[in-house]
Amino acid sequence: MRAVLRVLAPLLGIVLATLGVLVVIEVVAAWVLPEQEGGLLVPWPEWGRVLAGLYWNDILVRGTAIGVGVVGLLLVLVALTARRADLRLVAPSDDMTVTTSPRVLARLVGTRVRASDDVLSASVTASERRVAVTAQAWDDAPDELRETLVDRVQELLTELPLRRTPRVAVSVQEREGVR
Amino acid sequence: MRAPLAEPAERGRLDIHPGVLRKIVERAADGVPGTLRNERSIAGIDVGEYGASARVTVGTGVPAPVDVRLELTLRYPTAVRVVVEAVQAAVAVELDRLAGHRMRTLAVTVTGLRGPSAPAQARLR
Repeated sequence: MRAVLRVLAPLLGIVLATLGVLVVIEVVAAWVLPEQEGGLLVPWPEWGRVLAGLYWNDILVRGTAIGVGVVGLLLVLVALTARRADLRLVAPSDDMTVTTSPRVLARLVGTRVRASDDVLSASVTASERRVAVTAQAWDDAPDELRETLVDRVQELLTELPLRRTPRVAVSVQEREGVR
Repeated sequence: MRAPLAEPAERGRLDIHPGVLRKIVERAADGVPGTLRNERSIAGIDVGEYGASARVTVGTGVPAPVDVRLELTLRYPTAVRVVVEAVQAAVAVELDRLAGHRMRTLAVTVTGLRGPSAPAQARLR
């Protein structure tokens, strides 16, 4: 959700900034060119006439209100669910909180997995609940490579003072060709 | 006739800007063995390095309690808990010694765990 928020925030900012600029242009144009019929860039007198003919109980007004409400609720939902997914670590005392980011854990796990001679490359995603490793192995890698990697990752996780030990999921893909 | 002087303790007051407290916290944290400094680069060009990053909130009271949020890169492998405990002690001592403030809470975010050689070693003076 943080990715969605990062895309949405600048887009909404650009839209609002554009609306602001248009309003400024129209206000200045109305001052400077009072004889101009209609808006300079936006046909706001025409929009005004359309709006003047609408009533609160019109379907269009109700539909727009419902649409704006739904979009607003979705934005609130995105904002509420886009919290930082920090991993909590065991703190030395009660007046302290110690956290780290999933990225830090993923990097550590990746370094540990790639240290194996039988692994060509690896990608890791980490969260408080789960660490998922996708390793690409050489074609002559031993059959028990997956179990070895799981053990290595679990050994690393026990070394870290994580409050909650995530589950480990390792998948190994064999690469065609010789080493 | 001149008005009598106020008591010495009431003639003025000392306020320490939170920015100064932040610097004290960051310097104390950087001095703890096990914390590391990071290289700062813009578009791949090395423009120096940075260490711990702190945010300080000063409460009310005498002495004023201080809540600290600290971001650190730590050396790995090392005992994270031991280093964080040492950081807590160092920061509390320096805040008290230099500014007379009491550290109330400390929230540490470990932003990196890495070996000492890559990319920069802790600078201790």
